[in-house]
Amino acid sequence: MINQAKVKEVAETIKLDLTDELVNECVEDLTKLAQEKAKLDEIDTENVKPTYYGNDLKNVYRSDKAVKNDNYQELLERAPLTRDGYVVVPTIIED
Amino acid sequence: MTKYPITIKEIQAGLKAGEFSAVELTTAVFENIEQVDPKIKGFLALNKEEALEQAKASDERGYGDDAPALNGVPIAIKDNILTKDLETTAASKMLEGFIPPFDATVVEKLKDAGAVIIGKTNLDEFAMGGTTETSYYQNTHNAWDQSCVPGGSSGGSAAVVASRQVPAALGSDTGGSIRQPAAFNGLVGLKPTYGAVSRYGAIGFGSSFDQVGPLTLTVEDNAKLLEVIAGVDEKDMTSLPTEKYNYTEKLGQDIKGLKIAVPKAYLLAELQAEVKASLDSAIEYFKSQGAIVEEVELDLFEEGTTLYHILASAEASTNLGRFDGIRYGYRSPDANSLDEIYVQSRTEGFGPEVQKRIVRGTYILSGDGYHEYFEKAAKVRTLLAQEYKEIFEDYDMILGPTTVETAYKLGEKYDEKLADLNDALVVSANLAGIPALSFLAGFDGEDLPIGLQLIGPANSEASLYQVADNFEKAHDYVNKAPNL
Repeated sequence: MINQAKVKEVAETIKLDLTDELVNECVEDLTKLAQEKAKLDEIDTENVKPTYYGNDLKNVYRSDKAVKNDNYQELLERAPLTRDGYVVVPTIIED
Repeated sequence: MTKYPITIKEIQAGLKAGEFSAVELTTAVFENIEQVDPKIKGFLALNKEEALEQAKASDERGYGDDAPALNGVPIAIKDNILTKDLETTAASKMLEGFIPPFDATVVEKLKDAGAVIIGKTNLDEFAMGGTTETSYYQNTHNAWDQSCVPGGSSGGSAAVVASRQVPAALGSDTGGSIRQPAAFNGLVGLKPTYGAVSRYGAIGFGSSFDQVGPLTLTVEDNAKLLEVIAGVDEKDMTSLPTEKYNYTEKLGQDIKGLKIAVPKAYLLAELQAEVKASLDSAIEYFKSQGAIVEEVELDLFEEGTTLYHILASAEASTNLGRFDGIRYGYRSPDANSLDEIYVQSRTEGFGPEVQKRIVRGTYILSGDGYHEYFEKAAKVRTLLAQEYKEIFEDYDMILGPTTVETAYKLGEKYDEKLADLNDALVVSANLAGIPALSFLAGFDGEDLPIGLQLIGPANSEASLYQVADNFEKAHDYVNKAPNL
C-alpha cells in the first residue's frame, strides 16, 4: 500500500527527513511506478536470468600485492572534524 | 576566440604549425569564457592557474610526431568526475567545497595526453535529471537559445562546447545524459560500450549504467578524445580488458553495403515534425551512399523507461548511501547525535529530486520490492538486451532520433508522457551496455539543433563514427555556430 506512512517508513530507513511536499511527491512517484511495473508483470520472464551488470565480466582479479597507503592524511583533511588521526563524531553510545 | 580555431583537429594543426602556443590559446580561452559564460553559465569552477602551467608544459614538450595525443588541447570536465585539488561538487550542496585527493582515471589519462584542464561544468545534481535545472548552484542555458534548457545531465559540458568556449568536454551517461544534451546543443556525443571507459573517480549514480564519454563539435574529434580516455583500468573491475582502442580507423571509409535498422517503435507519432523530417532525410542520404536502411520490429521500447526508473534508482540509493556526513561532504552543523548527523546531513545536503530517487530506489529494494520490482526489471533487462543482439545479427547498427523534440524552455514543466518517451529513446543503450552516438542532423524552425542517434553492438564505436562522419562531411551543419 503506497501512502504517506509507507513513504515515511522508507525515508527513515534511508536516513532522510522528507518535507510534507516531498512525501506527497514520493507517493505520486511510487504510485506511477507501480502502474508501470504492472505492465512489466505481463511480460513472461520464466526461465530468464536477471541482468544486474553492464557486461559479462566475471572474477576480475588483480595480483595480490601489498601497497602502502601514504595518503591517509589527505583523506582525513576532507573529514568535517578530526583529532589525532581520527574522525570526530558525537557520542554514539547512549546510556 | 575568433583568432583561434575551435576544433581539436584545427587546434592541433595550429599548435604544430607554430601559429600560436598553448599558453596563448589557454589565455584566450579564459578571456573568452569571461565574455561568453555569463550568458551560458556552464562552468562551476575554473582551473586557470593549473591550466596555464599545463599549457606551459605542453609548449615545452613541443608538437612533433611523438607529442602526446592531446598536447595543448583545452578540455572541460563534468563536475561529477573527480579532479585532484580542483573542487568537485556533483552540483550538490553535499559536496560543496569538496577537494578530491585524487584524479579520476579519465582525468589522469587526459593529463598524460597533455590536455589542458580548463574547468568543471554544471550538471543536474548527482547526474539526476534531464535539464541541468536540479543543480544546487545555477541553471545553465542552451548555447543556441538562452531561454532554453541545455538538456541534462551533462548540460554544462554540452553548453560550453556548443558556445565554443572549449573544443571538447567530458560528460557522463546513465540514461542518455551525454546524448540528449548533445542533441539539444548540436554536438556529437557518445556513450561508450559499458566498460570501455573506466568509471574510477566518476561519482556513481547507476553503476551498471554509468559511462563517461566525449562531447565535441565533430565526429573525428570525438573519436580521438574517446581513444585517449578509453582502456582497461585495474581500479575499475567492470572495465573491459582492452588496453588501447582504435576508434578512428574506419573514418573516411565507404558506407556502401552497411546495414542500418530503423526500429518502427522509434518512429513515434509524437516526434516533432522537423525531427521526423530530419530522420527521413538522413535515411534517404544513407541509402544514396549505398547503405541498406530498413525498418525493423522492436517489442520492448517504452518498457525501457520503466526498467531504467527501477534499476537506476535502486543502484543510486545504494551509491548515495556513502554520503553520511562522517568522512567527507556536508555535515549538518546542528547534529548532536549519530542519527542526527546521518539524517540532517543527508536531508540538508541532497536536493529534492535526489531525495525522491533515493526513496524510490530504497522502496524498490525493500522487502517484497526486491523480487517484484528489482529482480523482475533485471529479467526484462535481459530480454531487452537480447532483442538488440538479435537485431545486430542482421544489421550493423540502428538509426533513430535522439529526442522527441528539440530543446524546450527553462522552467517549463515538460509533458510527462513526452519525457518518458525521451527516456525510452536513449536508455536502451544503457540497459544493454552498448555504444550510442548522437550527431547533428539539422535545425528546426527556431534554429534549435536536431540530433539523430546511432546505436551499435558492443565495441562497434568505430563503425558508428564511420557512418556519422560520412553524414557530417556531406552536410554543412557543423559550420553553423550560435550567435552569442
